[in-house]
Amino acid sequence: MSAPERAGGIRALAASWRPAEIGLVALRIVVVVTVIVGIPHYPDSAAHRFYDIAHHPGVPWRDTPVEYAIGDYIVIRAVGWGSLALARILLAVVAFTADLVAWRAVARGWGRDPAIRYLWLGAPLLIFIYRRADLVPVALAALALAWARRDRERAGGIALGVAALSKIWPLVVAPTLALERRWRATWTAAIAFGAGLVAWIAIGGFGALQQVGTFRGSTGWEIGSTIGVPVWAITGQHRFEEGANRAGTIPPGAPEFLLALALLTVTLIWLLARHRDEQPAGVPAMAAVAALLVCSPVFSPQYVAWLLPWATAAGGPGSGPRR
Amino acid sequence: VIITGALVTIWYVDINLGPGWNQLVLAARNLSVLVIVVVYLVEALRGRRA
Repeated sequence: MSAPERAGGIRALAASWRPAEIGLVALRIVVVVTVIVGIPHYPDSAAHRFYDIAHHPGVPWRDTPVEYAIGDYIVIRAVGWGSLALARILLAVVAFTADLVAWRAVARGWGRDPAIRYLWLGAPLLIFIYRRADLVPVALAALALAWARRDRERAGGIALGVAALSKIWPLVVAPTLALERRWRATWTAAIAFGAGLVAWIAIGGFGALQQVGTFRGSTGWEIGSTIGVPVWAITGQHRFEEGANRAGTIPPGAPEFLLALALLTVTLIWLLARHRDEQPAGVPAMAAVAALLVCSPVFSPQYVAWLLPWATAAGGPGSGPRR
Repeated sequence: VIITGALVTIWYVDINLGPGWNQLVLAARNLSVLVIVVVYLVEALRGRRA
């Protein structure tokens, strides 16, 4: 393609965009350039940790504790192989790309208005979200459900399976596929997730699941979590433990109780959603992810990004009653 | 999302909120997430009964 043709293509693309889309994408470009250029004062804890993990010799989870699942580990190796400065740059590029992919996925799956809402809703998080990898599973999960809606069920299932191998939360939006009767996507997601899980356990051993589930065996409540906030307020003390600020001590049985509560709430949400005329990927998916966040002993600021695609799809039209 | 964005911005620009304010803002954030779940369940259960 010649330069004039390329310029014409860009002009045509820009002409079809609404002012809000142009402004909000331009804002994202400014932010990613700012992160890449680097403001040394700003904390880059994820880049530091990714660099450490990627440079640690031996098998992850077996030889050294790693609090990330295998999907995240692939991103970590892709980002952290060079210097710390390069890790920060690559992380910003990956997060920025994932943000745009999630935006386009929402547009493809649920329409242009929800996609613009995605750009608006994500804007307050831009100051730090390009310093974290949380938008990668967000993009994959949004892409998965959008593809399934567009009859690309196998691709959608694989994307959802891969997303759930990065973070556990995409599993709670998976019932969307069943409610929309996308059975091929549902089975493909289950097979992709199962195969990835077996490969992960073969590499890292069963201890890998425990390391991820307990954040390398940390003992305190993360200070932003539902229980961590009051514990921090009452005790007035917190400490830095296993990569996060934590307060108090998690009593025996509490993680199991919270997991059971999360499972019960998420199950109830999806059982009720079967009888409602609403977009399954909208309010029910958002409520399911919110239930997981409420019951989690860790609620880092970047976790709110998990809600974005579902919050933006929530305003869309329903898909008809499923009685 | 707005509360989180505002809070992290405050942290990044090193504004000291004063004792108790971080916890209060985080509690408001968590309450708003909890409200999503509770309102959905209440509305859905009410819809089932109607």
